[in-house]
Amino acid sequence: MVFSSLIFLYLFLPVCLLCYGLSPSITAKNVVLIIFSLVFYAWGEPVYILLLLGSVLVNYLFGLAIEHNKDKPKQSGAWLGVSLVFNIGLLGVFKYSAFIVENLNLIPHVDLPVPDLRLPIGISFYTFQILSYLIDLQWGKVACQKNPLYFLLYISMFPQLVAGPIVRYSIVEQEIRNRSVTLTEFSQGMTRFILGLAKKVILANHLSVIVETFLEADVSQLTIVGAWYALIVYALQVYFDFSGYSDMAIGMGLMFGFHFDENFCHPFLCKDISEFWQRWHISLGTFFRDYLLYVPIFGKRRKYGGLFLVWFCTGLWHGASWNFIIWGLYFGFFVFLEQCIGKKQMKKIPLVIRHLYSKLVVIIGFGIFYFEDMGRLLQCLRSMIGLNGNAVFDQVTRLSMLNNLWLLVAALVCCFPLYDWLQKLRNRSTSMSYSIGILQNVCNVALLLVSSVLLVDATNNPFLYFRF
Amino acid sequence: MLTSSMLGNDSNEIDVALPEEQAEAQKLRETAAVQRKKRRRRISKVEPEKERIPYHTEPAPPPSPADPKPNTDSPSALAAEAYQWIRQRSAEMLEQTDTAVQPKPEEFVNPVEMITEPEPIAIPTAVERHDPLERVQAAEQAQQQRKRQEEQRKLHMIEAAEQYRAETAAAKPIVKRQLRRAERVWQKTAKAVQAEQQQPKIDRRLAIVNSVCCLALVFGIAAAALMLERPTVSEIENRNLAAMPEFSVSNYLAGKYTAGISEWYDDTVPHRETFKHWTAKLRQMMGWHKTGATIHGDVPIVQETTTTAVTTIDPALSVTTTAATGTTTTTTTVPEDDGGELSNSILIHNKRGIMLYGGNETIGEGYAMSVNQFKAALGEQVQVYSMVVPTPCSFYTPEKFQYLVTSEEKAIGYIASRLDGVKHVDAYGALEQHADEPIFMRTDHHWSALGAFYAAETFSEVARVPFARMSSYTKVEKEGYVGTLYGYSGDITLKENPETFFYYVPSAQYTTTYYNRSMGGKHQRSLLLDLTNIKPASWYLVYMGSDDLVCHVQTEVKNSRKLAIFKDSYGNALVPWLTSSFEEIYVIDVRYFEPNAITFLQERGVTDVLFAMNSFSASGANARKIDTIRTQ
Repeated sequence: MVFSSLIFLYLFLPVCLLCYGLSPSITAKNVVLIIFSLVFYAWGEPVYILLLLGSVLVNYLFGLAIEHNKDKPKQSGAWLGVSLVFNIGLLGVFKYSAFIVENLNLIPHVDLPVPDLRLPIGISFYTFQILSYLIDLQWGKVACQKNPLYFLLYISMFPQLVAGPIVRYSIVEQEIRNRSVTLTEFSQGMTRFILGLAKKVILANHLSVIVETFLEADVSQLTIVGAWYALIVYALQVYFDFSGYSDMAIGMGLMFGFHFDENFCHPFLCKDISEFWQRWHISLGTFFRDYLLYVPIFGKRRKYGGLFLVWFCTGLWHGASWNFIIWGLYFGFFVFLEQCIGKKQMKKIPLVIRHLYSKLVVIIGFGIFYFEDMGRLLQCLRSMIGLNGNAVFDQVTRLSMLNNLWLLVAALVCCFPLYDWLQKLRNRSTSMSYSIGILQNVCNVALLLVSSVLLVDATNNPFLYFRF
Repeated sequence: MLTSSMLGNDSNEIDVALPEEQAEAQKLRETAAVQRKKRRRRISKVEPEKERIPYHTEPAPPPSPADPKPNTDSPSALAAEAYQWIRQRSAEMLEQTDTAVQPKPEEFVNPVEMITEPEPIAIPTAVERHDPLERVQAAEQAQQQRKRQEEQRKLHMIEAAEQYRAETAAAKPIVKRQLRRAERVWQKTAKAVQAEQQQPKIDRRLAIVNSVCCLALVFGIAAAALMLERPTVSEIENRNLAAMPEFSVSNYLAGKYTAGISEWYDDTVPHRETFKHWTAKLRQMMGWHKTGATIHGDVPIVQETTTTAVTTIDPALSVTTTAATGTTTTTTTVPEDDGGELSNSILIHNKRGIMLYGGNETIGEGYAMSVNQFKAALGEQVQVYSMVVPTPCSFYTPEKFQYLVTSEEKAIGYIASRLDGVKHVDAYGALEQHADEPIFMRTDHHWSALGAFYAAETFSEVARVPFARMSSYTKVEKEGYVGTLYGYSGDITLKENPETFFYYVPSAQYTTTYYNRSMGGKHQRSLLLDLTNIKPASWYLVYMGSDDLVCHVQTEVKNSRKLAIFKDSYGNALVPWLTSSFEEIYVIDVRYFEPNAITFLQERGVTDVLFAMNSFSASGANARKIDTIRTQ
């Protein structure tokens, strides 16, 4: 089930909220959440739900084992090692086995059967959540969760199950056991959810139509403006899709009393690539930073070896395909470059140039992200700089821009922190506070209605994370 | 106070006032003045910035939900700090201004008094000095020196006082400005503090309103979605909506069952068509449409085909006419179709939907070969004709979009050149001459009865059969037609500009018999349907009501000519025009026919075979169907 569908919005969510609200105690609430989360997951993965449950059970036991050997660092370390092998192995089997075998088959005289395993939805997200728990447990940052239901709730909680953010155990450790929802927070959660839904349904879905029109066609035929336009629109589409999903997750978390961390922070306002990744998919970036980059195995070589390993993994995490790996290393290269130049020197470069540079790198990065076929990527890049001998501009591009003018303007404007600005204005005076609150309320209702109407005939409602 | 200490410094210099020392004193005074100025500048430069601190930090965002930590920078704390600071500053400045604006007399004198008395000049006493004359001279000297010093002191006092007055006068406006600014900041802070104090209350109220509105909406829509009747057919899209899936373990394990429920729930929304209409309106609002043109779907590529499946309603199973009451009940089941008559790139221009014809000019090769083989299989006795009908893109595509379209004229010409033993019917030429007449429907992907008339006329000439004049037909018109292109493109322009649907009823007598795909299920029904109870989007079904049935028309013509039309839905419109030309007509859709076509034609003694398809069909999947029906 995806959030941006009518059956989720108008069947699953209301029933879930009703049951949750009517539950008298926190235990009952937790049970309701677990049941609905499992139904949610089983809806899309009737078979792989067993994998999820099995993984939760095994890792719960790993947790206990690490806890049991708390005083013997060697043994607990060994348990952690076993659990890491288990989890990463699981991810490897289901996500990367076909990719690895296909690449091995490229070696002469190797002809292995390619395993035909469908990727379980959300496996990357929940595996990483489990890893964060186990590693934090070993490092003594969190206490061991001895109640298997709590642990199951942490892993399977449906708001963040299939498309992130990657919620650390430490964030929800207390709230799993005890939490309360205030009316204000519930309302904020609702607002957040609707804004996320609108981002996904109104902006991302319609931007995806443009992207398909241009990038699904023969990219070597694209005009120069058309190619740039298509990639920029694609970057916007992915941003609104992904951040919309995160917003919905955070919003629903609030509605149930959980406080997840932010996952996106207006990434297109970045001034350099390092900053872009501090603003884009924050939960993944910090995961790799904390659990891979800062572990002592690299020592002083962190800056080089560790950095590229992190970016290799970041790319690979997004999908088992070479283009994702290249995509990750591509960003790694620019982060490395920026580190070589140094922060102080970077600041000396005029702001305009830094903005242009970062946007350029990001946009081409999305090109790499889009095309799994390197040939098509090169064709597209050639079209972008006019090497295919195509026209600069044509009627189709012009028409597409005009026919989607307000959509594009809205998308660009929404890259700025409008919501935060409004919240700042609120504190100016009482009347301001009221008027902005009412405005927000009206917007919520309007956006929910518009999104619902657009979902009725959603010919374009892609789920982008099936590869993650 | 700043001035007194400075004057004090100066006065120390005066004590030993000698000419060169005076100059030095002057220098010192100057540096003091510079220092004073600097300090003033600092006041006006630095301090306003300090004052602005509350501007930046005071409207701090409300403690974010994701951040449960207590916010040390809360507006109240900042405001209190700001308040303290402003009060202090204001008090200081008020004091300053008071003294600056009205230097009171005693204060004016004050600096003078504060000048320390000079050390008395040591006059040698009589005991020390033995010479009385020297003593007198010394006393006189001392007296003169004292006088001089006194004068100089007075002079300096006046000078200092004037300087002081000038300085304070200059400082007046700056201080005033700072005061005003402080006042403003204070007012804002006060407002913010008030707002902040009331914030929880306001938030609570707004939260109630917001939660109630949103929840009411969600639960209301959820209830409505459960209780209202769900549609099963989409008229405007010309298809059956998703049905509730059957439960089976294998279906469930494959994820098909749950996915099916989702699809059913999302697809069969109550009042779907209304919402679709709103969607079209919303989509329209997302852009600028003053250019009069819109493209839907893929950008056509003039190299390969871009044909997709089209679905056709099958009202034969569905539309049962009860003769007694004359009412039509529609229970539609739509065959899941595979045939391609429709491109997925649609250009809307001048309120007309135009499917853009892609592919290269030799794309009809496969079609021509299939028809040739069909002819070869039938032998010399049977005459085979090929009529490939162009679509609106040949006649109505504006100049600037021409580059998106492959020339249908050339593609059809290529097909004609590849035909072997098959006669080419030049529908393109026939239609081109009448392009300014309504030969195509604006909102539908089909042609009109008029277009079919011109093509049929050309065919009758090629086939050398009689052809009835148009005057022998009765024209029937129906207002408010919005065809399939609205459903496919979702473009509101088409919906908002309906057209008149028309067809012609022949006066000639004939009987029509229908068979199903496998030539069973024989039944009789009229050739033209009654459109009274059929929704506008499906009015093209007036011809025989469906595509997948085989229709056998027996006319009163006696010329021993039996025609079989192998067609897509374009061919349907030809049939009424040929009722005075052939003895019998079999109308067969290439997409649905199940028996072997060659055997069938030979059994029925068919003398003429006409392939009538539009150019999309002929270059798409339907061309391959010709081979299928020949060999199956």
